[in-house]
Amino acid sequence: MKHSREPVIVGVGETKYSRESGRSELQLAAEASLAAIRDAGLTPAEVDGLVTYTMDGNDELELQRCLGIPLLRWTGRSPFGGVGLCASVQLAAAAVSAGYAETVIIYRALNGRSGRRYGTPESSRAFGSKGGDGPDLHYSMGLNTGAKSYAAETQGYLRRYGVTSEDLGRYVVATRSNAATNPRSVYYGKPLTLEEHQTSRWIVEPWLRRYDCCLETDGGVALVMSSTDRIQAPSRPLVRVLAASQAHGIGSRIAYDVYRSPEERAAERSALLNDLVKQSGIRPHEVDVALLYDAFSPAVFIALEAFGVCGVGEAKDFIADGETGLGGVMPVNPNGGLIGEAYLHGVNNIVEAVRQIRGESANQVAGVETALVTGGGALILGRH
Amino acid sequence: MWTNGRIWQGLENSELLLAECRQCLSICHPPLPMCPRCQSLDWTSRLASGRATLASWLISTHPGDTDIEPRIVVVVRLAEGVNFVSNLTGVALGDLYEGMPLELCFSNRDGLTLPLFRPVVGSGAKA
Repeated sequence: MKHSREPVIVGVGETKYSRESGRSELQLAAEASLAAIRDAGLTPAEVDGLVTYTMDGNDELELQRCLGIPLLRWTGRSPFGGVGLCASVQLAAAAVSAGYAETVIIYRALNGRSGRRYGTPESSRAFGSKGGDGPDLHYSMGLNTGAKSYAAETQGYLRRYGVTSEDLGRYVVATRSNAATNPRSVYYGKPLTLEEHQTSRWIVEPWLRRYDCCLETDGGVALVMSSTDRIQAPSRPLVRVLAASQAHGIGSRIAYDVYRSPEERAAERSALLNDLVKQSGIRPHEVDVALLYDAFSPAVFIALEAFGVCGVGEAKDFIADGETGLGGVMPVNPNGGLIGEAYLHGVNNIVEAVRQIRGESANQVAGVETALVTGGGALILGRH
Repeated sequence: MWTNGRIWQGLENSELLLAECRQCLSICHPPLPMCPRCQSLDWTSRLASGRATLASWLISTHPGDTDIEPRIVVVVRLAEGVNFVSNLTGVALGDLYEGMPLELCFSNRDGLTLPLFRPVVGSGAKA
């Protein structure tokens, strides 16, 4: 049967991003979902699917009750957090495209600052979540935060290409400059200087300083996905999912990904790249704006090179030359990204990609037709 | 079943044990129930040689860390061909380099015997 149900993103919404929401994660999820439903010009009664991450603390059926969704026909969870970012869009798009649901909300809501902070180190005696018949092999050795794990897995790249803390700082300064003019950002009106970056304390010496790490945020964010059949008279420009790909090579791990060789990582990236081109006919470096998953600043450098935006080892010069700025060759994270706007496991970056394509971002890049979003895979979104 | 518990049992006797597949003889770390190479469920213990090279290193100065004294956390490449997360002792951060030859030693911390690594004598400082 010919697919007539082309999945499109029809609405986006969020709560205020803050350090102390003063409300429950369920309320944040409900508020963000409702904002996205209203943005789409729909009502909760028209929603019949919910998708989130496995680590989200909000039960689908509780959110259904809050929103007053009469019948839920599709639920799905993508792995963990950011590693499932692009998978969440795949799950929603697959449901719409197959007809399992007509209108699906993707939501992520958490008190990531006033509740349990991400950066909290695990106790050295804690048992891991898997194979738990002894203390965790990472925590017991002091490898017990995402920042440390990331520093261990990424430092080979930094060493090989001579990327210094100052080089990383230049990206952070650029993304904080975007955040400073984005009213939704936690750092609105608060740009950062390179000197402030360079004098900020080490979180993981000698690799990551405080400002290289993403925010810890309280907030909720949501997208609504439906189909071109369903949305006959859209209230907002529709955004197409041109490609949605996960790529988990053998040996990849959701956390503590320190056991793989650089060759295995390269093979995974190359598979992802091929999949994106196969689905969309677009090469990632041809898009108009890139939302790169910057949980930690080196990730942007690696992504720019992996997706062919610049040559291998050239990201530090590309960034220093201002080519990732709003008027550059490839504007990156105009919202401020996860370091500057908020850390909602990347869903806020999808929302920004949608706003850029609609032409309504606070830091609008001129003439955006297509956008790349990365995080545990990648998406290419485009104007309908 | 060959699980993390085996590693901790070995450490009590100051031995670093690794999971070895009885069918294809490959080493699997961290341990898994099924061999990713040949899908066997049959495991035995291999005593690690204790030789390794340095792959990654870091010092945690994370606020709120459970460590009172910051330690050098490392990923080492064991001679057996798998990566292993450990700590380094007897060397300063500034003297570390990729590929530095290391050897296994043991240390007690909070009532647990931990497998640590130290530079092989003569390789402590980069020439």
